Amino acid sequence: MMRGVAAFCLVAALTLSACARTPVVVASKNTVQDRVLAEMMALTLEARGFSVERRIGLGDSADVFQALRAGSVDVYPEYSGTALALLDVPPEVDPDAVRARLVEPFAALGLEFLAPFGVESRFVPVTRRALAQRAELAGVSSLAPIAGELRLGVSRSFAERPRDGLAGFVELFGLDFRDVVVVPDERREGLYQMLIDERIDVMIGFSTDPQIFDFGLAPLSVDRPFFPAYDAAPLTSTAALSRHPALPDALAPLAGAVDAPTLRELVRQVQVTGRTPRAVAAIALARLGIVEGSAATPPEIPLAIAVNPEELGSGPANRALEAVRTAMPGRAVALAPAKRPLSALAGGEARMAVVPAAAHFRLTPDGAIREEGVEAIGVVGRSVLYAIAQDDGPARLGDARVVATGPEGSPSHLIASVLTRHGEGDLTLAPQADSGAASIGSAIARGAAEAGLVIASRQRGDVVRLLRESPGLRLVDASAWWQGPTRIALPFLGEATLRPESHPGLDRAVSVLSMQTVITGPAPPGTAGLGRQGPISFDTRVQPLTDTTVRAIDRALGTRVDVGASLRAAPALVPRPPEARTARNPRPDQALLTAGIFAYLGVIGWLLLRRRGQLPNARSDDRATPAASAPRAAASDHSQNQET
Amino acid sequence: MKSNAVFLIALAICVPVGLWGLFAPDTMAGSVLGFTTWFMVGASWWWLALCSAFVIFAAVLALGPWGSIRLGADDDRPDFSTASWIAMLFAGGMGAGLLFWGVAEPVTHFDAPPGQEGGTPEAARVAMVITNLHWGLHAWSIYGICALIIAYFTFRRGGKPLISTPLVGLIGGRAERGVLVGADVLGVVAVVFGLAGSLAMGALQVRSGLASVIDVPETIGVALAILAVLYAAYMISTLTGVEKGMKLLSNINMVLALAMMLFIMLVGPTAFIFESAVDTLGAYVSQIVTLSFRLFPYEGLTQWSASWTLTYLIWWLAWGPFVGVFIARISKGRTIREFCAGVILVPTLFSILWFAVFGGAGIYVELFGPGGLSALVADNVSEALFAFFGYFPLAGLLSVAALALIFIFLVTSADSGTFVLSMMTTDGRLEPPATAKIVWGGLVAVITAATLLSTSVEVARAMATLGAIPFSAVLMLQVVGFLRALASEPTGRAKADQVT
Repeated sequence: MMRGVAAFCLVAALTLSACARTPVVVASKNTVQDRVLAEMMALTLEARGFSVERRIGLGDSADVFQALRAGSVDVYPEYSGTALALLDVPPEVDPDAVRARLVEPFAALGLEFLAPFGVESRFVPVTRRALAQRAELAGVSSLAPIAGELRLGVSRSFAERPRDGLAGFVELFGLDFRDVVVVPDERREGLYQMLIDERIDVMIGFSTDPQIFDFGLAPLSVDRPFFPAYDAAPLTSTAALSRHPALPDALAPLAGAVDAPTLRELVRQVQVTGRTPRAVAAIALARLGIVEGSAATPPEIPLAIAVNPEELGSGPANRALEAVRTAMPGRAVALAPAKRPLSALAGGEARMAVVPAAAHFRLTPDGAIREEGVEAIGVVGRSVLYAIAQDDGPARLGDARVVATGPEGSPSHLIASVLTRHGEGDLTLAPQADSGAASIGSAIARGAAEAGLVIASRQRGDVVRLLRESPGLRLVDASAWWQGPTRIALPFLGEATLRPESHPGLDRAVSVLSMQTVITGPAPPGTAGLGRQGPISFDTRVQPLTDTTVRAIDRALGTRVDVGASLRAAPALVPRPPEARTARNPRPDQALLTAGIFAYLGVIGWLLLRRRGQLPNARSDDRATPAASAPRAAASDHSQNQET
Repeated sequence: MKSNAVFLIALAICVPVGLWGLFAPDTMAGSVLGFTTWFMVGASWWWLALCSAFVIFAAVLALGPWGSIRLGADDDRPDFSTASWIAMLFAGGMGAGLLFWGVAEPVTHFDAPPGQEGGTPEAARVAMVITNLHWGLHAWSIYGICALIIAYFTFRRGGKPLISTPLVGLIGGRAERGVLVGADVLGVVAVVFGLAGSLAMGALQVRSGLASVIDVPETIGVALAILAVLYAAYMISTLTGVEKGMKLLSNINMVLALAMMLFIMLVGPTAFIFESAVDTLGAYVSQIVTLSFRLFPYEGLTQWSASWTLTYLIWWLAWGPFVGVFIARISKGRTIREFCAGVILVPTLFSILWFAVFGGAGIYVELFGPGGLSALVADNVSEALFAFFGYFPLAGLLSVAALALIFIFLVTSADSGTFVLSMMTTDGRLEPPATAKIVWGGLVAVITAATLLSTSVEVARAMATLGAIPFSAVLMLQVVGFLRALASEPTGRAKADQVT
C-alpha cells in the first residue's frame, strides 16, 4: 500500500517536473519561409513532448541573432551564408566550406548549427521577362550598361546587410541604378507587385519565392562570386542545449526533410492560398510522417485563368493574376496556358481567360459577330496587332497581297478576314497552324506570305525574339488599313504608335492597331428564367461569375480603363440600359396573360359558388360507394359528441 | 374503358415529345422552357400568391372545424407508423435535392443575398430564412394540398385515387368527360416527364459524384450504366410493393441521412448550428408573412425572384401530381389535422434543422472557418457537397454515404413514380398489377435514356417542369371540388349553427 503511494508520488513528481520544464523558445525572422520552417520545428518539438514558446516573426536577421546570443531565444532557422555575413567573414560559395568556416567562430560565441533542413535559399536578382529579352539580360553583369535607366527594389534587411547586401552588390557589379526602392521586410512580397506594375525593374528575391515561377519572371544569374551558400538549418546556442539536451535529437527528423520545391510549395500555400504558416507546416509534417495528424489538406480550391502560353509572364496576364488573387483571397489562383483560352473557358477547364478584345468576336459570313457566351470583367492592358514584313517587302500592310495569320478562328485571322472583305484590291490570307510570332515569321521567311499579323501584348517575348533573330524582318505600318467601313466592322480596334527603339530593329515610329486585353468570364443567359434549383436539378453549364466577384476584381484592378463599349461587359460593371421612359406597358403579352388568369379565376369562382341544385348530382352519387356513406354518418355523430 | 383512353392518349403525347427531345433537343428545351418562363415571369405575382394561398388553406384546414375529419372511415387507423410515413414523404417528395442544396443554397444566398451586401452576418440570417422559405411550408403545403384532396376523395368518399376524381360532377354536361380524361392524361404526362427529367439529372448527379469520389470518366456510357442499375433497383423495389420495398428503402435513407446530419452536427460547430437553427426558426416564423408575398418590383430584382423563389414553386407544382398521389396512398387513416401536421409542419421543422446543420456549418466555414466554400459553390454546385465534406474528418466516408443516399433517393422517387403511374392508368387500383408497373417503369427508363442521349441538361429540365403550369390549373379545379365536398361534410360548427 505504502509502496503504491510512493510509486504514485514519484510518477506524479516526474510528470510535474516534465511539465514545469522551461519551454523551448522557437523564433524566426519575419519572412514567410522562415515562419514556415520555425513552425515545423515548433510542431516537431511539441509532438515530442516539449513545451514550446513561439516568437515567430521576431524581426530581421540581426534582431533574431542577437536574441539568440542574449539567451532569450533557444533556436531559430538560419542560413549559413547569412551567419557568415553576420560574423563579417568573406563570402564562400561552397556550402560545405561555409559550414566548416562557421564552426570555429560559432563555438567561440557559444552557437551551434544543427543538421540542415536540406534546402538552400539564395538571394536572386529578378526582372521582368520582357525586359530581360529586350535588353538581352542573362547575368547580373549585363545589367551594368543599362543600370542608369533601371530602378532596383530590395527589402530593408538586404539593404542593411553588411557584407552580402545592397552596398556590396552594387559595388561589385558596378551598378549605378537610377533609383533604389527599399521596403520593410514584412512588405517584401510587395516588390513583386511593383515589378509587375513597372514601378521597379529589378528586385532581389529569394530563390524559394513562388512568384518567380507564377509570374513568369526572369531570374538573373549571379555571374561573379558574391552571395555565399545559404543552407537553412536550426541555429541554437550551447546555453540552450544545456537547458534542453534532447533538442538535437528531437529535431533530427527534420534533417534533409525539406527540399527547395517543397519549401516553395509551402510558401505558396501561405502567400497564395492564404493559409497560416502553422497549418501549412502541420500538413507538411504529417505528410513527412514526422508528426502524427491528418495529412489531409483542407480542400484546395484552384482557379485557373486561361491564357495564351506566349503571354505567360506578360504585363496583362500578371495584372490579371494579381487582381484575381486580391479579389479572391483563399483561392489558389494560377495562370493556365491554353492555345485557345476561350475554349478552355467554355470547357470548364478555366474559370476566366485573358484574351485580346478580338477574341470576343466570331467570324460569320456577315462579318464579325459578338460572341454572347462570354463577358468582359476588366481591362488588364492592351494587345497590339503587329504587322511584320520583309525588309524589301511591302512598306505598309495595305500593300501586301498575301498575309499570314493565325489559324482559322483565331483573333488575327478574324481581323484579317474582315479587313480583306472591306479593303480594296485583292488580298489572300494564309492561315498558319499557330498564331505565335515564330510561325508567322517562318511563313514570311519561306515566302508563303508577304506580311504577317500577330496579336500580342506589347514587346511580347516571341515577337521580340523573332525581330532580333531575323534581321530581315521589320514592323510595318498597319493603321492605314483600318479605315472607313472596317472601322465600323471592327469597332474594338484603336490606333497606337510603337516608339523607335522600343523593339529590336525598329528605327522609326510605326503606327499600328491595338485593342484592349480583357479578363473574360462565361456570360449568364440573357433573359430571366427558370433557375437551376429544384429538388433534383443539375446543371453542367459553366456558371457565370457572381457580381460580388466581378466587383472585387474591378476594385482590385484599380482605376483602369472601362471595358470598351463594343464588348459585352459583366452586368455588375454596367448599369442596365434604361428602358424607354414611358408609363405604357412594355409587354402587352403579359397584360393578356394577366387577363387570362383573371378569366380563369372567374370560372373557378363560378364553379365554387354556383348553387348545388345545378349540379348533376347523379354522377357523383354513382361513384360514392355505400361503404363511404357510413363513416359520414359516424363523423357527424362524432362531432355531436364533441359538442356535448 | 376510360383508363384505356387515358393510357392511349398519354402514350400518344409522351412518345412524340420524347422523340422531339431526342432529335431536336435545343428547340424542344427552348420552347418548353420558354413557355414555362413566360408564364412564370409574366405572372410572378400570381404564382407567389397562389402558393402562399395553399399555405393559408392548409392552415385553415388543420386549425378549422374540418381538422378532425379522418381520411378514411372513422375507425380506420394509419397503415404506416408515423416515422415510416414521414421517411416516405421525404423519400418521395424531396429527393437528393436536400443533400445538394443543403450546403449550396444557404451559402449561395449568404454570398449574394437579394438586394443587399453579401458575406455579412445579416446576410447569413437572410440566407437561412430564404432557404427555408423555398424548402419549408410552401413546398410542403403544395404537396400537402395535392395529397389531401386525393386522399380525402379516395379514403373518405371511396373514390378512385385519380387526378380527375375531385372534378367529378363539378363541370357537368357533355364537357365533363373530356375534362376528366384531360386531367388524368395531364397527370400521367406530368409524372412521366417529371420522373424522366429528374432521373436523367439524377443519373448525371450520381455520375458527377462518382467522378469526384472515385474518378469515373464523365461519359454518356457511364450515365447510361448508372441508369441501368437505377432501373433494376427501382423495378425490384416497386414490384415488392409499397409496404415492403418503398418502406424499407425510405427507412434506410432516413437513418443514413440522420446519421450524416448527426455527424456534421457533432463534428461541426455544434453550438453554432443549434444557435442558427433557433435563430432561423424565429426569423422564419416572424417573417413568413412578408416573405410569402415578397417580390421585388421596386428593386428591379425580378430576375432573382424568377430564378430562385418562383423556380422552386414551379418545381413543387411540377412534382405535385406524382408526390400528391403517392402521399395520399400512404396517408390512409389519419385525420386532416394530423395529416397537415405530419405532411407540412414536421417536414418544415426538419428542414429548418437540416439547413441549420449543413447550411449553418457552411456559413460557419465562411464566417469563422478557413473559407473558400462560397467560391466553390459559385463554380460548381454539384461538387460543393463533396468539397464541404473535405472540411471535416472522414470526408471519404461521408462522400460515399452521400452518394448512397442520392442513389436511394432516386430509387425511391422512381419507385413511387412508377407506382403512381400504374395506379393512374389502371383506373385507380390501390394495388396495381405488376404488368402496369413493368410497362411504366420501362417507359420512364426509355425516356430517361433518350434524355441522356440528347446530352442536353436543358431537355431534362424542360421535361421535369413541363407539367407544372397546366397542373396548377387542374389543381385549382380540384380545390373547388374539395371545398364543395367539404361543405356537405357535417362539422361541429355546422351542427352548432343548426342547434342555434
